Amino acid sequence: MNNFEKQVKSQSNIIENKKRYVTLLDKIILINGIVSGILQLESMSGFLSFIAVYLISSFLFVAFICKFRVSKYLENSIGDLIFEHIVREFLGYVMAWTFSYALIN
Amino acid sequence: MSLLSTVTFYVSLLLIGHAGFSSFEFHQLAKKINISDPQLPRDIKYESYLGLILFIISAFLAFTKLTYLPLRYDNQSTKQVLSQGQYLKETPFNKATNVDNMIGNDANGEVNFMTSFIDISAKRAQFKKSLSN
Repeated sequence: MNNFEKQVKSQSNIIENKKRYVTLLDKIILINGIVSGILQLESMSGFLSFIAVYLISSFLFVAFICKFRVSKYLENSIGDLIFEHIVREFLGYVMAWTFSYALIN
Repeated sequence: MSLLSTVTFYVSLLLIGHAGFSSFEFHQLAKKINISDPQLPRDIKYESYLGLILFIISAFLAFTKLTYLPLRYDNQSTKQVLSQGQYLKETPFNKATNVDNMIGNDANGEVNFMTSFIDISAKRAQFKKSLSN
């Protein structure tokens, strides 16, 4: 596919869609961090909990919000859904996790 | 946020809060009686898992379909709030402009509404008409 055959996409709509996705992930991952702290998860089990919830949330987003038509709403499916926000979400998760872990223990 | 999502949200917060307090009390007790490696009771674990699951459900239920108010009010149309029945905005450009057309937003307004492009006589006539009404 050359550049002339590529579909032109609305950048403002892509940004708004990503914003809604990130807000959803932020909420879920912070609560996941708090739950991990309550359960006193340590090392690998905590990281696995993050990965599991992150992937499940992404899948639910694709299934229920995008109705399995990701390219209709985002620019680059896998990159936008998983890799773009993973560092941000991971830092938020570690913050909530260590905070609730220290409070409880 | 619908009623269902609000209810599930508060129930999940209650569950997580209660599980947190129970876990805190359990660890305090374990410290007092010198248990070296305390295992969290199953009910606290299940309560926190349930709280997390309910929170995820409430977060997804809180997603509302996008609605728009029409910019140009048409007397014949009965619908005040317009919707395409979608949770997100479509990105292909030919579809993305559908919303502008639906609500009556001029996508080229930055140019079309410049003073040199406005039909002043028509605007004056419209203004006079609105005054007379």
